[in-house]
Amino acid sequence: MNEAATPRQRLLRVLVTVGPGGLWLLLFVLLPTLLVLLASLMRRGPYGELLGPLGLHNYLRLLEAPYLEAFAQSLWVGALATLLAALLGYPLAFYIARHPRRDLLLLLLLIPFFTNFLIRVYAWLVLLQKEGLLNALLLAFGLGPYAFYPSFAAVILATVYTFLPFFVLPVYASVERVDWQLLEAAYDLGARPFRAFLHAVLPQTYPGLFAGSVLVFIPAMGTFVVADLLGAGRVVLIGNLIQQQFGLTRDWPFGAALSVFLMAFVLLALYLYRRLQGERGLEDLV
Amino acid sequence: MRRLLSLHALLVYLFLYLPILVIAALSFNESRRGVRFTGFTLDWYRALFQDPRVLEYFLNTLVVAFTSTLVSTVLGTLLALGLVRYRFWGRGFLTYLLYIPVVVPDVVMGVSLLLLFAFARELLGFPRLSLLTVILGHITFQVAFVTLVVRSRLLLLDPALEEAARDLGARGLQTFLYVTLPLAWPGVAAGALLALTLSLDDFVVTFFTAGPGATTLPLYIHSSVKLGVSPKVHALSTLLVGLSAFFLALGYALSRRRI
Amino acid sequence: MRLEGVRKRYGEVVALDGVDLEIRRGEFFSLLGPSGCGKTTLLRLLAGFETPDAGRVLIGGKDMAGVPPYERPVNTVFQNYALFPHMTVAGNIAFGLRMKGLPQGEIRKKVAWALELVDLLGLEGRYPRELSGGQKQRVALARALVLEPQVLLLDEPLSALDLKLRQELRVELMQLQRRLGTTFVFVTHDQEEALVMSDRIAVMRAGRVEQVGLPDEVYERPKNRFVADFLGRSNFLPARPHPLGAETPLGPLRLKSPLEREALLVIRPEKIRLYPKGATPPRENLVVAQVEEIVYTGAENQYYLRAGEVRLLAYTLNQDLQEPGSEEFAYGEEVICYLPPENLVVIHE
Repeated sequence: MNEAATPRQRLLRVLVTVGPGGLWLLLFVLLPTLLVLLASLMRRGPYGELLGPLGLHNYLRLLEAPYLEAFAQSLWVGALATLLAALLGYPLAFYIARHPRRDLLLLLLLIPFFTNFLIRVYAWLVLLQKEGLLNALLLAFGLGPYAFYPSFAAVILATVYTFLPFFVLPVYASVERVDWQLLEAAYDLGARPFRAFLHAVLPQTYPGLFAGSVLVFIPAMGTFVVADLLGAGRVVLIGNLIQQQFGLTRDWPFGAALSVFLMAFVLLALYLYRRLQGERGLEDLV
Repeated sequence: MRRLLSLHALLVYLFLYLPILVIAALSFNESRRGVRFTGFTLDWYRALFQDPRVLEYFLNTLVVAFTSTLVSTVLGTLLALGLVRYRFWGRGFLTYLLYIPVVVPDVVMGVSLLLLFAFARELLGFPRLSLLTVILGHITFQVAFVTLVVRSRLLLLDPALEEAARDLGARGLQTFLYVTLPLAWPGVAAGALLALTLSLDDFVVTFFTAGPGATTLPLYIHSSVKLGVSPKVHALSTLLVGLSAFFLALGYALSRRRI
Repeated sequence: MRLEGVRKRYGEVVALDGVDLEIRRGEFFSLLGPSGCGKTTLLRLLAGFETPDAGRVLIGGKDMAGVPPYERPVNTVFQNYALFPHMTVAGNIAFGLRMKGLPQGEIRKKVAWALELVDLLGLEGRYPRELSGGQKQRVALARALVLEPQVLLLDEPLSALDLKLRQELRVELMQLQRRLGTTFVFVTHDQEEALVMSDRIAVMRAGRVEQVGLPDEVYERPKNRFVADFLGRSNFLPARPHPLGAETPLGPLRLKSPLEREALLVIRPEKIRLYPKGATPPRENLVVAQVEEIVYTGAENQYYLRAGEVRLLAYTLNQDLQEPGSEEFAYGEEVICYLPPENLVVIHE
């Protein structure tokens, strides 16, 4: 505020409001991030403790085949999940937005969304297991039983399932704001339905599409729970690697390096997103 | 075209609810494994309520959720206020810092907090991983969300209203209490609700920051699943789904009323 | 109140570029100018919502540097009223009194007094969203006046209202000011408002005060082209010195006192007197012109005339009297224009 007040008053006001929260962020977000960076440069001692000397050895290790594979698989999972979520979610968003009882439909969409995601993931485990529902159905037709899980497909399926609402909501917000007169103008100018949609409506939903994609892609590639429960060793993503380093393997420095790598990737993706969509895009995302 | 869209929507909704409904059905199933429905029973629910550990985990979850929500709402609201109303050195940096807990995958958050506590233990002797560390972790990501939600609400607020208050003789605190807070209240409430939900639902951050004796319901579900799914967990899950459905429906009904 | 050498900029934009102004106690003072001229910024400086980059703001002889809005003897009526949506009319009006810590009984009395002042008795329990524009305006007024400030600042308070309401409220505001004796500082871009309501007007442009004076001073004797053009309409004639007075594109014209150097002559449309060909007008300062366009505005006729290369605008009143000076003219008709010397204002840019 430019308001007439003594500098001391202003300082006090800023400190009271921004102080506690800001301090918390510095202490619990900035500091830990720096510590992760620090740890990623250290080595693992015989008892699992952190030792110097500092070096980039962990990062060099990252470039080895198995880890790059895991990263590539994470990207692949993210991309595939995003694509499928888009295919499922995009039409759904339109349907909801144009429906007279859309708040009810939104509510129905939100209930699974607000359900604990562990429950949602293990539900698929139950459905896909040997004695699960799917196999039971197939058996009724004389097929199977197949081991649907653990598998890559199961992971993808569960990931899409978990993050689908993340895609639908931003797209829905975009669709709500669509100016349908542009579609009418397109018709008026001779465009057939499909082309009219393509040129008049789709571009208007880009912000929602981008936001939704980012909201699915980043968690999807960074998750470890889904791969853990439904991949059971067959599917190893970056998230799993990180979790292992802090669990059984007890190689914290390497885990930290993996974290840094993941975080850097995410921040880069977001930086690009911001370049494309501007500051508003970032806020809309949240 | 519309027919196709409707069909698609229907299928997607079925897809969304199928697993949940199956779990719910299985929770009443007499048999322990398998999908064949052998008989209706409430045994699993009874077992659930009679398990003292479950009660403990439930309480833990609640304690964590409410404590962290309270703290993060206060911190976040104040922070949002400061960010919106004042210009100061480091404001942009702080805003970017806010986005980190929101966008970065939970694993990274969990890991960084774990490291923080580990380093702190080395240097200061505390804290050990416990419920407290879980709460601290939750507050961290909650603050970010609360701040952003309250901030967007505050930005909608006409600054002339606060100026009018000051013009009429209200000092800082008075303006905040009588004008800013009442008007920003929906945002604060929404932020608090979001924080609460995030805390109740959280698994990954809790996983990394919890010590022995600090098990929450999501953690319990996870370990149960790894050991082998038991219908008790089905019962628990069904209850949780029912609960969130109930609250959502309540919120929906209330918002309809308050046009 | 006094502003001495006040400057204010927002980044690249200069809002106030060295303003010196004096506002006297008890007067209705208007800040008039186009958008972006700095009038609102000036008001905010008086209220205490902004601090000047240079210069001083004095109220009652005291320097207001570092004095926050809630400690100034000044209250503001905001452009969009800024009524607290979560409080009733009574709650809004009582706000300032509550901040002062007055006892409930006294607050009630004062609120009633304020409501009566603005003619809103009976609406205490309503919420702002239930009020019309005019009513909201009055609440904003009452809320400020109940605190009996020494100065009331009004930021374009009537601009959001429709014409009839605006005209009514104008009169009410004037009467209110006279009744209370409070100093009013009124910001507007509507020159008619300023002329009607003010004791004195400051015409502003691009962060500077172009002219300050009584309404008729500013209107009849503008100091420069901007002021002449902003208040009402004007005819401009470039002029050079001439033994008679001035040499203009219309030929030589007599002035009250002859020009000493190049200048711009200004004459208002209502001051030009029109005579039909063949009439007997005064002997000097006559121009023959042709009627190009006629605009009828109800109370007057506006004639767009052309005399050679020069275009003139002249008004006549619509009086149905058969007197010289109140004839009506037709398109294309030739008329004789008389430019009275005492109405030719000299401007040096």
